Amino acid sequence: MDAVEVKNLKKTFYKREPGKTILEKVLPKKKEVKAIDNVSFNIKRGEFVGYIGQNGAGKSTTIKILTGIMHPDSGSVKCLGLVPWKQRYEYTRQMGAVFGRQTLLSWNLPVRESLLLYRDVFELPNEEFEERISMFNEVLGISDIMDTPVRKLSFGEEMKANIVASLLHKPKVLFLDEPTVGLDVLAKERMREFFRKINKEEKTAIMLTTHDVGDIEALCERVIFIDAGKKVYDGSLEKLKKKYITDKEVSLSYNKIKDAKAKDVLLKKVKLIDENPGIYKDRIGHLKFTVPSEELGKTIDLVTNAFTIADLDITQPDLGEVIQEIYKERSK
Amino acid sequence: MTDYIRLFKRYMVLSAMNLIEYRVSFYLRIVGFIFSVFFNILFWDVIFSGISSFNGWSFGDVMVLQGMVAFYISLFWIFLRGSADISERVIDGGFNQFLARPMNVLVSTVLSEINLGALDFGLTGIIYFIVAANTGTQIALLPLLVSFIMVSLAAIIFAMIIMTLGSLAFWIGRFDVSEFIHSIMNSFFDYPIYIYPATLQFFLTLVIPLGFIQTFPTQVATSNVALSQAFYWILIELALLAFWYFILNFVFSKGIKRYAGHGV
Repeated sequence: MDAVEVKNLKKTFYKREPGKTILEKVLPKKKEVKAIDNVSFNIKRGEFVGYIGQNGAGKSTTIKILTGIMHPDSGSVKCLGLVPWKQRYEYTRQMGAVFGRQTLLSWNLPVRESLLLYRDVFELPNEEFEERISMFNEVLGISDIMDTPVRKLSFGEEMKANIVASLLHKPKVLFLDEPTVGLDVLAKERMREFFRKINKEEKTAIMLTTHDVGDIEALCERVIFIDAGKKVYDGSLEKLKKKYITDKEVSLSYNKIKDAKAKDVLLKKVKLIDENPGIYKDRIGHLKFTVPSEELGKTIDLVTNAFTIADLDITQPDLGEVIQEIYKERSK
Repeated sequence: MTDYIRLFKRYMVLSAMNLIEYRVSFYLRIVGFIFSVFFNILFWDVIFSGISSFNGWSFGDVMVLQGMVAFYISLFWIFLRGSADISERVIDGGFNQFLARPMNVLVSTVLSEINLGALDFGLTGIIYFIVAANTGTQIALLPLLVSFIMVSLAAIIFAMIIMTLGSLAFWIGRFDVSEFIHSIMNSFFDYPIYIYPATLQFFLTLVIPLGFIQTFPTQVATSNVALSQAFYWILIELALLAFWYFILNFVFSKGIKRYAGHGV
């Protein structure tokens, strides 16, 4: 049995469209919006899956259905063998959800008080509660904030406390909706480390929804790409990159042009992004271009013939650019 | 099954801590309420200086009635205030935190809004009872306890009515039903329902349970009716409670299927 089994899931919303005439304003027409259109996928236990797409693609709607918050129109969903919205009590005891933009904490009270509330909600014995708190403290360093009122916490600290509140009961499946939104680089990295630990050590199946491609690249081996309610890709992150990343980006600084002809040949062959004078005294020029991966070797030969190289950097576009590429392709 | 007694205690602790955090504002409100009670008592004193009774009700009876209203308001705002939030939560996604956890949504909505800050209303109620007792009105302990049970049941019925109407937000959007109904009730709170025509009395007993909030409990507390009459009223309240419990669960269970959980 997989942790999450989704088959032919559909959810439609009806938006009121403001009309022009008085009658249309009083009785507005309803426009059908397919938030999720026949989506199917499975997530295995212990798997870490990124669920990505543009705003309004249907990500949050899917998460809401999988967490038992929303009822779908049709299709079947089983999480840990249970139907989330029908067997909610049994299911939510084993499921965790972190909504990055929604707090679970009491604003005026110390973090500990809110956590004690969730201890009671999940009916955890006190020993188990304290054990979990000390584990969270080791990884997230929460001891300093336990007795601080939530209103006095930084955004990152509040997020930490929210995550602890969501994971107190050791869920077998975890849904993360924008869990690192608003966090600084260090806090993000710490959070990612924590999710990795939970995923590996507790074999928690994790589904991550985010606009932060860094999160996806750092955490997910598999991604599900959704656009306008439809699943457009489901597979490994590596395959996705290979499919859409066909070029390498080369950035070089040179301090001498050895062969002007070789330079001309090079510039005809590559897709130039940028050419400007060097920023250091000993570097007279800078070039940035992309080249198909299979022609990288020949291109580098040309570069070494044409220039005396001061610095050379070869990169491939990141996931963000891949995503943009997919959108472009779909909008065609 | 979630242990709601444990949750109730936890929310009480949270509310008490919140109250301590804002104790100065709590004390200031008490002072304000004492002034308001003083002027209200003065108002009724002036009225009763010209008449010996008000539709058969003495000054002391009216004071007990005011005390019952204060007790109801205190009870409602301490324990049942969350019932007024249903429509808002439907619109802004406020049920998400309960739906994603092993909690009954309606019970949790109510428990999560426990607010001991409203104890000040209860304190004003005590002042009314003391004034009534000082004017010679008989208030015996057992009838007073029975009358409190009546008010408590009425408050729960009223909360269920508000939650049922608030649940209509699943279909019609935001609907501040509690404010709307309380503003209607405010016009009737100060007087026994017997001063109104029979049809209105019926409305204020069985549709909006105002009679069970102030008039009938006052009659019981002041021993103006026999305890057997009180038990008859309690039976009616239990029937109303069962009726609204059924209606609320029916409407809410239909409505929650339309819940979109916006706000996430």
